[in-house]
Amino acid sequence: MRLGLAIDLDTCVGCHACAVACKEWNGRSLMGGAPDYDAYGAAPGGTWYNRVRHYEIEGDPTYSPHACGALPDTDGLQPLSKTVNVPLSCMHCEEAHCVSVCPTGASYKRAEDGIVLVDPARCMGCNYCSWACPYGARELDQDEGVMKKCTLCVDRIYDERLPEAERQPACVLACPAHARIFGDFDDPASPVSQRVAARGRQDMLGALDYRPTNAYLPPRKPVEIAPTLPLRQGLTEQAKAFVNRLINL
Amino acid sequence: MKPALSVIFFTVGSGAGLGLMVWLLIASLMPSHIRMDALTFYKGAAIAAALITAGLMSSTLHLANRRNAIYALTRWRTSWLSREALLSLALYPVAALHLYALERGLPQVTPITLWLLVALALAILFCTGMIYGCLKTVPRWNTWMTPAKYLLFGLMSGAVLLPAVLSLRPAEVGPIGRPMMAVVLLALGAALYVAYLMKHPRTTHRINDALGVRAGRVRLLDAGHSHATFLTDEFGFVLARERARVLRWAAIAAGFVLPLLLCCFTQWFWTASVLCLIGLLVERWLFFAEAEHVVRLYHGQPHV
Amino acid sequence: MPPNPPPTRAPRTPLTPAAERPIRFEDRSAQQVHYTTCYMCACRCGIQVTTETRDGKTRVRFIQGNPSHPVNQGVLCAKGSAGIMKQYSRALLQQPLIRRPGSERGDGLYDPISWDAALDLLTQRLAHLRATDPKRLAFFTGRDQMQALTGLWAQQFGTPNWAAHGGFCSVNMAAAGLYSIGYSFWEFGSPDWDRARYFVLWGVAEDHSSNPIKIGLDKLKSRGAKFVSVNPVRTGYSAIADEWVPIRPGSDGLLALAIVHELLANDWIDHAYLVRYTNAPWLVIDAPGSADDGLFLRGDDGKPLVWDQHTQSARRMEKGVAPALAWAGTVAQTTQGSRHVRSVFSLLLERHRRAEHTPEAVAAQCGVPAGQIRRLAREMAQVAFNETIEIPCRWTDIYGNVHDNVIGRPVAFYAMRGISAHANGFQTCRALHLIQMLLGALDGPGNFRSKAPYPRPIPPAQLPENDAGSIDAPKKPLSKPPLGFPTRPEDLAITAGGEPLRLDKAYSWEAPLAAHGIMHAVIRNAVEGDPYPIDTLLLFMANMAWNSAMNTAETQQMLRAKNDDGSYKIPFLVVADAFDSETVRFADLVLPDTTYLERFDAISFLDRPISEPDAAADSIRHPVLPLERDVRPWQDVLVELASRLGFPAFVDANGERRFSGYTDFIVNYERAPGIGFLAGFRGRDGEQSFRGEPNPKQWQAYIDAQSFFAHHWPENQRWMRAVNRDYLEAAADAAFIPKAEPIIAQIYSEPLQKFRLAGLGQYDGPKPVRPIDRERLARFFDPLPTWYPPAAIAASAPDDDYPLHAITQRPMMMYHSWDSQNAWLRQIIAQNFLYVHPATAASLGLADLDWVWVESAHGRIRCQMKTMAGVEPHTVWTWNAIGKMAEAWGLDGDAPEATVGFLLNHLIAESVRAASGERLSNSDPITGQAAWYDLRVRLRKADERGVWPKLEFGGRR
Ligand SMILES: Nc1nc2c(c(=O)[nH]1)N[C@H]1C(S)=C(S)[C@@H](COP(=O)(O)OP(=O)(O)OC[C@H]3O[C@@H](n4cnc5c(=O)[nH]c(N)nc54)[C@H](O)[C@@H]3O)O[C@H]1N2
Ligand SMILES: Nc1nc2c(c(=O)[nH]1)N[C@H]1C(S)=C(S)[C@@H](COP(=O)(O)OP(=O)(O)OC[C@H]3O[C@@H](n4cnc5c(=O)[nH]c(N)nc54)[C@H](O)[C@@H]3O)O[C@H]1N2
Ligand code: SF4
Ligand code: SF4
Ligand code: SF4
Ligand code: SF4
Ligand code: SF4
Ligand SMILES: [Mo]
Repeated sequence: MRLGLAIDLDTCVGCHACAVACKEWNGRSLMGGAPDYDAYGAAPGGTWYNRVRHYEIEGDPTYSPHACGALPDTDGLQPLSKTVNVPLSCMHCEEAHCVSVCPTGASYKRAEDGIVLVDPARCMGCNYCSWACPYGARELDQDEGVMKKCTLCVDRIYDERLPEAERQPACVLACPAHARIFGDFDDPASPVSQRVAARGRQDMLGALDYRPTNAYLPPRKPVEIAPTLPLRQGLTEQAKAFVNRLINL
Repeated sequence: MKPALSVIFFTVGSGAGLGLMVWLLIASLMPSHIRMDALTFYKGAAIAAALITAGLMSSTLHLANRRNAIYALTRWRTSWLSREALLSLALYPVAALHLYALERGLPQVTPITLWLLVALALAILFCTGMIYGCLKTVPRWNTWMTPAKYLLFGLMSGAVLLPAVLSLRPAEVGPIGRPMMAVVLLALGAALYVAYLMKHPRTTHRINDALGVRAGRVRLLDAGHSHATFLTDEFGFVLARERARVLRWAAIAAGFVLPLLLCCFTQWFWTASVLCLIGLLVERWLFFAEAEHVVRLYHGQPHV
Repeated sequence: MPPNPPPTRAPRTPLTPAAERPIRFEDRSAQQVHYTTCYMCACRCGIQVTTETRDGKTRVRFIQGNPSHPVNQGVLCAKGSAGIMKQYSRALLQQPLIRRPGSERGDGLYDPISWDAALDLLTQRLAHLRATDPKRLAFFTGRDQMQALTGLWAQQFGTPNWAAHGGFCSVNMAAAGLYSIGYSFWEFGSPDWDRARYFVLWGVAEDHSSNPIKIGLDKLKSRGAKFVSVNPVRTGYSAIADEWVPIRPGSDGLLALAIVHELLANDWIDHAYLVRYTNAPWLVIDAPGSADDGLFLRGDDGKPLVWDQHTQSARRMEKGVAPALAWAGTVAQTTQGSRHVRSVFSLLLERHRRAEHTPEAVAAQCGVPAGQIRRLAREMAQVAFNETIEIPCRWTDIYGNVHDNVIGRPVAFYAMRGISAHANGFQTCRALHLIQMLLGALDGPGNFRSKAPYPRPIPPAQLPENDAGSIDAPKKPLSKPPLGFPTRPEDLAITAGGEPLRLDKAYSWEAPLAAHGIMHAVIRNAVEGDPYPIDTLLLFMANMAWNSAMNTAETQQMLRAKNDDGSYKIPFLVVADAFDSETVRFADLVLPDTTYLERFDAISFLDRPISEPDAAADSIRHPVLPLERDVRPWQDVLVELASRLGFPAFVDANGERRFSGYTDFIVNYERAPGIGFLAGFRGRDGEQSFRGEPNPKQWQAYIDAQSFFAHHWPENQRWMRAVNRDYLEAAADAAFIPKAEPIIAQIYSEPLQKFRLAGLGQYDGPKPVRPIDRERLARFFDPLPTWYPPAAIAASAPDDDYPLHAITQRPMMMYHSWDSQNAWLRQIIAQNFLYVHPATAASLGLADLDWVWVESAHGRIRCQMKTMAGVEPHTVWTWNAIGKMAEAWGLDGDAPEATVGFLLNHLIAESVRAASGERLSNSDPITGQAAWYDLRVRLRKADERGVWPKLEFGGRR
């Protein structure tokens, strides 16, 4: 089993719901813990397992297929820019270097489902695993002195006292745009595998060969309409001729 | 990367200590070339031990949860940090055994413990280098030069310390010649450092790679937090270019050139040592400060 | 994009058997689960709240979306999840407070006062006002959803000076819809997310319908429908649009009317829809100069007439008649004599023959190339007419025709404040509705659907109180509610001399259709005693000293302003709030409210219920946490005051109080027999819906039903509801509408024409005397949707001096100023920047993170900027309401919200001067809607850093 998330960059509106739901569930959960620092002060901060970042892509005509949108027109009226919202949490990489480098064995990857976790009872807070993570998925819990990260809500997805429908990560349940799907990437029939098969996945820092389990589904090519309606053009007196049809009330 | 002073002091200090230990041990094998009385040897050993130990202790300062540090000995199969920790700890019993054997005059043991110590020291230096060198996430570190630097600079600073230690011996033992090992290693060290500096910066990853976007120009609109986070604290350190240049020259001058000149032309070995260590501290600070983690791409840096 | 390279080797990462490290599951032994309604914003999603009781203390452990709730269907936004931190916020008010003697307003120094003393004090003051001059109480409420109660309270008190936040928020959308189609963008309608094939979102960043839009966009996109966003900024929803139309602010009307031109020019219109369900064929009198010019030709019964092509005569809209869409001619023998008339549609055709509405003519002004405008129009028509949806469904129209299916033109629109918050927003919104009408894309499958209790008659049959006698009568309720929908000048709330009867001047010549009041005018008007001074200003849940104020710094000065004798110009300021907001620190008396997890609330059909197109629904909140502070639910306070003051609806014949408190009131109050605040579980046994006797166990019934009630419309009542006989009958039964009568969409608005006639001096009734009013009425009250530059309202500085538009957007994860104290949300954003297009920045020599002076004709601020590519180059923008006053909201004095965060509102004047000198509110001249987004600015680099002005409490400045 290879559990993870498929995150749809085509529908993610960047609302941060997943990030806050994650903080809410994990903030005081037994597997988590995500404290706040200077909560009401000058430098509000805290530990988060999931952060939503926002980017712009300039000058890629894919996202503005129409002539008038594809290039900034002569008046510079039409900026050619696409905004993408990218939530980033642990990818539960197959080649989880964050696990291999951990000296204490606190950082570990589960054999059965591939979830990467930190065992707070072993972690010495050396930050080394966070150095090994390319995606910024690990943050130190400064109160406990222990490294924290996305648990894939292991304490939800396996909690048999929860109704079946709720055995999902908190961020997945919350996401208003349904841009996050949870499932088994080893099972070709799972919704996550199917989406990846249909849409492909963004190759994020693939050169580092961490082989993320989580998949980012790329923004779709914009929908285009091919109008076939004939153009008549002309608002003249004759308009009335075609306007007045016999329509009974 | 955030230049954590504890780690900088650790790598430079114990590096020098290990280097000194290696050269002391080797010197002890060559009484005809390097004359050293027992007391001087012990003084040197004490200095090496102090440097190593202080360094190791300092390295634990940056642990947020020292209670669990003991587990750091368990993952030697995959973790260079664990290997380093394990070997560093192994150093002490072996060193004790060596001293014991020396004291007791056990010639069948001392060569074994001696070479074991040398091997351990070299291995520790290599491991320390590999802690950084193995990280693909920090392209500037992810090169053979990183462990090479740790090894070479450790041995080099030890080699500069050796004549200084030797200068502690009683006057009647005779004058110290030109410390050739120090001179050679300082020259090599300077060459390696310059090579390392020349190799970088080189763009290895672009922000487009971070997002997997091929066409277009990607820029950060908002990082999703308006204030510092663990990630920006840990990886967000930015060094002004001008400052970096000055510091690099300072590192080259203090760490390599001046000690080399002093070793060649004077007997001011302590000055050479102190300068060398200061230079290496600067070099090590730069090693962290100039290294860029790929996570910075996600914070909007165009390339790393 | 390539999938990951195929694995070349097995991963080297060591694996750990799961069993070695057991998972620690949530300990649920001390937990309880409750279902209630979120109130981290006005979307009103259903939530499942898990509380935990340990050591006698009950705390919230987590909050989830309620999967069975009609609004959010299980999802939850960032604010919703952060509800916990609101509950544990440092800013929670703890007890009633009274301004410390000797301290000034805005010093923020308070002493505790007991509830008894506070209520005695207030009762005494209010009783005196009520017995002398009730209008000297002004009661304005912000973002609440209990206007049915607060409105009733004001009416019973006898003051017309009541309104909620709609006037600075969305009245343009509400009014334009209610005067055109019978429902509206903004809460009373929703796109058909399941079926729309083409969706255009006009000026929306977040909306009240926050989660439903997100759920809906995903549905659209998974179905491959096209999503177009018209917005100067590309963030949030616009980020994922298939096509982004970066329009110049304030010019959407031009774009919409150019689309109208294209539709008409190409005959891309739904003839049958226009003929049957809109007033397109209605005949309009063409008699320039006379009192009925531009009014509908009406039959003996007052019903409008159309030209019947069968009988070649003017007939009422009845079964069998075949109205001509375009017709002009003379109709003899009417009660109005022989009149020359033209059909609405022919007026429309004539209007759009003018070159000013062609795409070419508007392209430069709205920043959308002509080719793109043409294509958008053609795409809409293509989808409407070539991708038509037909759903088999037997339904009966108002003419008695039975249809076997319902036809859907699957082009859906949604629009909000990008349209609303401009001084031309009402007409712009009408232009959008015009496109919908032309396409026949209303309340059918795939387009924009209504939500109960809408559609209502156009406009809703509710007139505002305008009887000076009733307003001045002491100790008497008003004869009508303070707010309503005027249809003609006689309905205005003005004195015989034409002076406003209301403090905010709503329903005066200045803003005749101000259906939600003009809250942003209240403080200035009260301080200037224009039209009259008041005694007590009661603010509930509105941060009027901060982000709902225009001209914030001066507004604070006004709250502090004193007469020569040292008394305050607004003598008594009472603020009811749950948190330590900026406004709270200006109050003379602070009445602390509970939070949404601690009280009962009814989200009622008498107000703005939570209906969705397929279900009429309302909901409640109930306490899921014990109340541990000395605070009271504001509703209880209102019922208490109403009882103490002896309002007729709240006391019996003997003057004894009728309701023990809010919950009792909600159950037992009947607006009409059988009609109360909550529509579900009525009748003694709780089995009746909408109409039925009070049910004493109604609250519990709601609680058992997860805090909401939903009536799912049968298939034949789901579509075309304005003209769907079965639906209209059901709606009349439920008291949503007075009678089951057709609701014909109004392309041409006769009420507007009546006001225009008044402006032209032709109206046979009240007419304005001030030239400025006459001018405005004649110019802006066009009965057909039109466009005028927002600058036409303000006597604003020339565009060249202030070349940039400055607007705000709502951040999805923060609700106005009220979420600022949230420890989690402020970790996401505690400082806002001014976003500038890189080319614009470069032309001004500005770069990322520069501090800049932003200057408007009204004032200046200093803030920090960033560049972004996804913004229309003539526009700069920032997030709304991130900037705060130091020390408000429980934040430390050096919190970034106060040191580097900023508020754009300082730059927006609340009043503008007409060229002729009159002071007018900065509003849409038709509805009084606050024109937040008409702001024009210029930028220059600042040498200093830090936000300016930095307002602080304690009179320091
Ligand atoms: N520049 C600019 N300004 C704007 C806008 C804009 O787009 N740009 N938008 C305008 C619009 S549309 C609106 S609606 C206004 C909104 O402006 P306001 O209506 O002033 O909204 P908030 O700032 O959120 O203030 C609401 C108050 O309600 C209080 N509150 C929250 N929960 C409770 C509760 O349970 N009980 C009580 N009693 N009080 C509670 C909060 O503490 C806060 O003081 O802002 C307007 N201002
Ligand atoms: N998270 C969150 N949700 C909220 C609120 C909140 O504060 N936070 N506030 C609630 C309230 S009171 C309201 S009124 C609603 C408002 O919800 P929205 O209508 O979404 O309000 P704004 O964020 O003001 O968004 C206005 C949008 O219009 C764009 N715009 C500005 N001028 C123009 C223009 O001339 N033409 C076009 N086409 N676009 C333009 C802006 O760029 C912006 O994207 O949101 C409600 N929901
Ligand atoms: S995303 Fe980072 S923390 Fe997660 S498995 Fe990959 S490397 Fe490790
Ligand atoms: S911080 Fe903890 S989990 Fe990470 S490497 Fe160090 S010990 Fe391992
Ligand atoms: S899976 Fe759970 S832990 Fe991971 S990001 Fe989502 S909510 Fe957070
Ligand atoms: S909750 Fe969903 S839509 Fe919102 S930021 Fe997260 S993934 Fe994107
Ligand atoms: S949109 Fe969010 S804050 Fe608003 S009611 Fe729904 S869950 Fe609550
Ligand atoms: Mo609003």
